[in-house]
Amino acid sequence: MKMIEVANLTRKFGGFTAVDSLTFTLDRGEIFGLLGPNGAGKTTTVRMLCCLISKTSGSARIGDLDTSDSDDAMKIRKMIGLVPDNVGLYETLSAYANLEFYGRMYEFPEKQLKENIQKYLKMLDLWDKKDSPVGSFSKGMKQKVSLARALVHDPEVLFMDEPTANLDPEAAKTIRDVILDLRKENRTILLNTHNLDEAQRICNRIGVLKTRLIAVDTPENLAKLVSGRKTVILLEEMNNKVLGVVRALNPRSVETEGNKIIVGMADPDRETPAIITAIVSAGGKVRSVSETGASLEDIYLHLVRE
Amino acid sequence: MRLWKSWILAKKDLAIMRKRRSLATAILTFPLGLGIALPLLIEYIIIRKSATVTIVSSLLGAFPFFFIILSALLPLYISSYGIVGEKTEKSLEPLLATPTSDGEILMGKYIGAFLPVLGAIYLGLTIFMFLTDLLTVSKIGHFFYPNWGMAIVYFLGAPFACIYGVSTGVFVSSKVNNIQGAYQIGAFSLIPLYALYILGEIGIVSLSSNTNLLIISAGLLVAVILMYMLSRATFNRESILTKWK
Ligand SMILES: Nc1ncnc2c1ncn2[C@@H]1O[C@H](COP(=O)(O)OP(=O)(O)OP(=O)(O)O)[C@@H](O)[C@H]1O
Ligand SMILES: [Mg+2]
Repeated sequence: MKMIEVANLTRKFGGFTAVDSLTFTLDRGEIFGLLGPNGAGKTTTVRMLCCLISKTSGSARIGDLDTSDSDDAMKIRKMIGLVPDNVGLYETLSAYANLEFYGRMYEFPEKQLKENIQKYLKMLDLWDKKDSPVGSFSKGMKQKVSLARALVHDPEVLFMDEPTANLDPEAAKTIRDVILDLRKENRTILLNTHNLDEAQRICNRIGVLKTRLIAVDTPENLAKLVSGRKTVILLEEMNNKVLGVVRALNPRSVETEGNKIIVGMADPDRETPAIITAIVSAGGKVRSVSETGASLEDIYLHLVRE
Repeated sequence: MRLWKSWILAKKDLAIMRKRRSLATAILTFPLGLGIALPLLIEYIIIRKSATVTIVSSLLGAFPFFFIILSALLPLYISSYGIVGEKTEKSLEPLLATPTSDGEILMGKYIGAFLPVLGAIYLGLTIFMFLTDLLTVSKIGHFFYPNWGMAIVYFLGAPFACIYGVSTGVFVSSKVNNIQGAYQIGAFSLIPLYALYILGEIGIVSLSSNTNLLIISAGLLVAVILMYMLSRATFNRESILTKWK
């Protein structure tokens, strides 16, 4: 079942087009990453989907509800959770009081709300601090409370606007792990990010956005867009003879960097063994062989520049 | 309009107010101060100046008007705080993302500012009546309060002034980002009330006449309706997120 269906979604601010004609869909249980540089229109898109701001044209549906119908909009808001780009918590109130307030605003049953607050604060390692004012929390802790707030009412669909921006690796990992758990629960998630690695790790599909959607595909297929993976061969010692035999095999590209030979191949699984054999028979001593995937970074820069 | 939804928000605002000492103190200090200071002033005038009963009565008649001004002034501060607070904490976006209508959120903001202020005003007024009666009964020969003028102030003038202050605070704080600024601009909207007070002092308008108090209350009601419409138009999801600075 399609949980999010967006067709030709456009938003203008005055004469300026912030989001231009987006079309994509999300199945239930998918994690879709909207990847784009600053000002790409990620936040604007999420705000339209959360029925926070209106669209200029096109359509957006959540489940079988229409974001532009005001009765539907109320139902949509009730079934979704939002992690906004700014945490926007009440700093004088405790973490618990913040979550309790929002749970009630989402009209969630009191008993389940208490259970959920406890569940998520424990999951995010904040249970001990539940009664401390949020103002005394670190950025990472606030972001966790913001994530918990998006989850306390058990929403089917989640929108997360750069949930790990500006966090240290550990806090970012905790948040990513929670997101991966949510995937197991079959929740549908749209995630804004400009962190390519993150998108690659947690998203089923990625849409590269720069006002328009430049590409939508799985991380693997996107990776195929730029010339395949590269193999890095680290030698004891670099010499021209070894380099010669590698070149003789005619791979797609050969570069050197110190004692490393970096080889680009069309089919690394087949070509790598032949290259290593050739190096060894030419007297080269191989220390290690590793692969650098053509990272999403390459793809991204490649696409965004175009 | 689901008032229970607004009430959840109002309770949250009240909880924040309790945590912010300075805010709670501001709400209580002025009405209580006025409630105590005005009777003492009367006592002073009676004893030191040996004023006649007529003078004392006309003063007493005009004093409740102070409370009308205060009822409009205080909520300006509180409601600016409520809105500017949400703006600076950037909590309007997650709040607007909940299944709550703009009108319900606005109503919550109104209730959260209105209740504590009106409560404090009533407390101040009650103390004022009680102390005044205590200090003047020997001079006047009977308890001056409660009387009709006070009833009008209590049940019409003060609540209307209070809602007027709340709406003005909401409206002004959508335009500015600091509480002091909102408060100062908002205070200008009370010029008609100050003017009335001066007119009363120089004897052009009697602020102790029940008819006049009723007319002032009716005027406040009209102002409340206009100001509500204005703040309702300002407090709109789309413009909050795309136009408010
Ligand atoms: N209220 C507004 N009025 C005018 N222009 C706006 C408004 N909101 C956003 N824009 C413009 O729309 C474009 C997209 O903004 P948006 O915030 O959606 O980008 P983003 O992808 O979320 O960027 P970031 O990574 O910096 O968060 C930007 O050029 C921005 O200046
Ligand atoms: Mg953004």
